[in-house]
Amino acid sequence: MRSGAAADRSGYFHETAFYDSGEEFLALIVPFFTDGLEAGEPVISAFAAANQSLVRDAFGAGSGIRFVDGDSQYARPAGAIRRYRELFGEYAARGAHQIRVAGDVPHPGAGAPWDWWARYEAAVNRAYDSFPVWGICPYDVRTTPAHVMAEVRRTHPHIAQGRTHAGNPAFEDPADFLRARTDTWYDPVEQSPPALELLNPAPGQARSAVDAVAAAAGLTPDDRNALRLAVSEAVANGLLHGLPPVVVRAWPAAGRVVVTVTDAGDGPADPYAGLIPAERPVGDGGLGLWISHQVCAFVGLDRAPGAFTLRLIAGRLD
Amino acid sequence: MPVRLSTVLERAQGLGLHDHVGWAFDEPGQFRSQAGDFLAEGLRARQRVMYIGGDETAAPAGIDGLDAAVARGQAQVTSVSVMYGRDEPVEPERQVEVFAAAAEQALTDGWTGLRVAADVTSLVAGERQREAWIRYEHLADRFMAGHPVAGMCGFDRAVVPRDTLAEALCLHPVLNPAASGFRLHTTAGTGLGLTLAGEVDRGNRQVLAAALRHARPAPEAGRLAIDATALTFIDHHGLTAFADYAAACGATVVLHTAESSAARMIARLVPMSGLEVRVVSP
Repeated sequence: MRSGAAADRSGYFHETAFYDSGEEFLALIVPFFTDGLEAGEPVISAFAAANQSLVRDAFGAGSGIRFVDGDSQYARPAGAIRRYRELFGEYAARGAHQIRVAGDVPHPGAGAPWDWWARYEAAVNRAYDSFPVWGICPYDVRTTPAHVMAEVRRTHPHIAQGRTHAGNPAFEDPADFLRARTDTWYDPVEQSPPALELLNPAPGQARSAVDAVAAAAGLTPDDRNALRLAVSEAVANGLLHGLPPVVVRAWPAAGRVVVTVTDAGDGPADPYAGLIPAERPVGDGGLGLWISHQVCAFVGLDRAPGAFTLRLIAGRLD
Repeated sequence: MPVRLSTVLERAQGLGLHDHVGWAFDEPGQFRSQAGDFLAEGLRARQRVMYIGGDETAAPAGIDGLDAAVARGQAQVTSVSVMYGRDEPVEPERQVEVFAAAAEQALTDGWTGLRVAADVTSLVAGERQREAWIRYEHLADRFMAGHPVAGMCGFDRAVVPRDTLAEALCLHPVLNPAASGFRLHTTAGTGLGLTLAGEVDRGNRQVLAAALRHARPAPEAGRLAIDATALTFIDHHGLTAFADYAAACGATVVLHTAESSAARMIARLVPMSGLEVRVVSP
């Protein structure tokens, strides 16, 4: 039996909340966590440093809350989904009736591109639905941009305010939301001419040309491998599933390399592509883009009429 | 410990005993010239050299003193049909014995080793002979790794079907450029393990699967270690070839890689049953 507002639900109970002060934040989170602890449910706090210390101070030591470092948990959306699913799976296997979780989802107000987190907020409605999870994603209205707030309202089926929990009439079907949107964020360095431009390269050619740019930019071996994996897969997908021409461009910048792979097709048909691994045997497709989402610093799916651009960044985003 | 090269070369030069070269050529003259360079080095190193031409008239090009070397028994020029028969597939294990006997004879006759260059196009062009020859390529590679012999195998791109060409070439530790993206060969030294070098992606994943089928490496105590420290790229498509092989022989394939490798990155994200990636210090 699940406790609280999600009591008669199955699967994922996905809520957002908006606050404009530390007091308001705690007025939401303290009862949410307290009720879970009292019901004997696992409680996970995955906030970034500032909010995490508010929670720690409010509950003190030995509360039973599981603190997960928000910065690493939310480094990349596909990684967040992968780790949460592992964590939820462990609790569910141990017989948890409900798992309560709350964390800070990154956005430009916190220094991160929003696009792939917008996709995350829609995709988790499906990704976590096989677990009895009640999750709250609170947003600080003092730092959250308006366009982020607008998409947060469209991706959460429930909204919390203090102790009240209500359905959200603005919620949209996640697959429809994902099909209708495009990742438009681009790196400022793209305003200058690319250091590399390749027309219809073989995947191996694209890998070695991009890797030369990455090596010159001083990327770490892991970041170089990440970029080669992502570029290889993007080019192969463009050649196999997209429409010609396939154009690869690369821009080196301080500590990072931006690569775009553009073809004339529509991009992946699966609205969840990249964030949720396809439930198919390894090698049957879909996994490459998911791996790219796991290892790159940013992946954008930029869909324009007659041009699908996969944007891949390796290294450190400023 | 015997040293052997694992590399890609523009010219068949600088090669020694234990080396095994695969050479894809566009017309037979190219191969006669490269084989000439390869064999001339053998003559200078007091090895017995043998040229096995695609037909009875073919001879290696550009070797000074070839006739004299033939006259004193250091060099032989023959043809594929004389050496391997005309239409029947080779028997791979028996063919290794023939190779070993020829190597032994070269030493007995006072030479420092045996070096063979052969245009083997006709041995892989036909479907009946192909599988046996490619299997032999790997058995010969194992033999060369541990004995004072060297070999160079030429394949005519215009004649050999593309997939066959890739499957045959990839079993050579030394190749000319654009011959194959990867090389699966016997590791230098006497352990007779396997080395995978180069790059494997979606485009040549099937070639890797075929290479494993042809090489048929045997696990020891349920584990099959492969030195992949010179594998500069493999994606999840490529790794499935190892997982499939592991499943087929009921063992775990252990890829040894550098600390940062695409293989390790993927294995952490997409665990595949029967596949392990281990970091080795350089």
